[in-house]
Amino acid sequence: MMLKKVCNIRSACILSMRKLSTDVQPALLNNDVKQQKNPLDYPDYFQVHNIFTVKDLFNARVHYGHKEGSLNDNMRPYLYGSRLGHLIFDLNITAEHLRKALNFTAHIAYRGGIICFFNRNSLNAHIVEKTAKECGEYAHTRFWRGGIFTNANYQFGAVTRLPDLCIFLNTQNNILTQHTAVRDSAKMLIPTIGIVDTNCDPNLITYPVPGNDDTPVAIELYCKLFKEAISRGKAERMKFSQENS
Amino acid sequence: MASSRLERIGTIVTRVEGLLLRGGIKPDDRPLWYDVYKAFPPLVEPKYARPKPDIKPIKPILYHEDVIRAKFHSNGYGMGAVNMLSPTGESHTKRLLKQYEKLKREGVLESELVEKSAAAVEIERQDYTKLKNTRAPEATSQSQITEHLKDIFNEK
Repeated sequence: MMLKKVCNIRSACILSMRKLSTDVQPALLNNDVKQQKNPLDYPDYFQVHNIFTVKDLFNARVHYGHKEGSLNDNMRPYLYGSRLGHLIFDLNITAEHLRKALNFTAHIAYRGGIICFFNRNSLNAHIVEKTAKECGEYAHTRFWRGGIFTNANYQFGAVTRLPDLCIFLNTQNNILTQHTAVRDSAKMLIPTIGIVDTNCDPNLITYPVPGNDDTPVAIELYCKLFKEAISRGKAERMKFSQENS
Repeated sequence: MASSRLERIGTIVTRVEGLLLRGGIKPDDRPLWYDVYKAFPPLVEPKYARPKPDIKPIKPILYHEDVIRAKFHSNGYGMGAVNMLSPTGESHTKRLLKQYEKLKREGVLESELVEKSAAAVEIERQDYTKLKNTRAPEATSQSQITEHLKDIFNEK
């Protein structure tokens, strides 16, 4: 079924060339270049579905939520149940959301977007910064000065390019308040990916991924997955520019 | 770039679409993520003012052996040390449960099951530590360590 769909899409992709004329892919309008396939026409162009399995999530303790008392009602659809007061995520739902998020990340990386990682848990700050460095992207794991996005041109004294995607490895400042960058990204029309635990609010996050956002093993796994997705997107971008130079 | 900063109204996409429709931004200046979002929209629309989901009671996760577990715990046998570095290792409670099932199959009386399986697991544990102590490598004996320390600053 899926294969048939892909074949149909392949024949139709010639028609959709106009869609590709974004600022990052200007060369495509040249008709002499042999017809390129459009990654957006494929359901999973970067093959992100094979980066992880549900078993990997389980081993990384992604299914552990907080206790029932701190539950945010918006997180209810993502729960599997409660084990003696501790909430447990349904990893099938998590996997679906995570694959969507990874696919989106890979596409943004392919289009040359700037990606910024966020995390306010000092225990995991180093690994997040290290991952961002290894991807060639950015991270913000320290105190958030208000206005970094909303007043950027003034704060940095020059016209500032904001990130094209914000990845939140935890969306809370502390157990009570949400990270201001979640709100500010929404204000500045920047899509967000966020790991939301049972005590977080997923409403403003564009691609929420329900899962444990505290355990270092889980954060390590997320970092590995996002790094892989970004590197796949960038590798494809490199291949594309070499073919068309 | 012209844009609305009212994040609670609509979603980032509806706000961009509004600007595109009314000529606030030119189609060529649309955000880099716009086409990707349109091709792969999220499973739930990221709207701030989304209605709360139905509040259904949360399903409790319980197992059949929880009844037996409770028996051990109420008699003070459940709490053994757990090696958190090896995820494959069996916990104390699991060993007790195994022993319980084994003894039950052998036909031990219901009233004696808890005490007997706890005793069996204790013997098992003692045997294991004895085995571990006898198998300890010879190199750690005191004399060899001091021999080694004497050579530590010698040039090779």
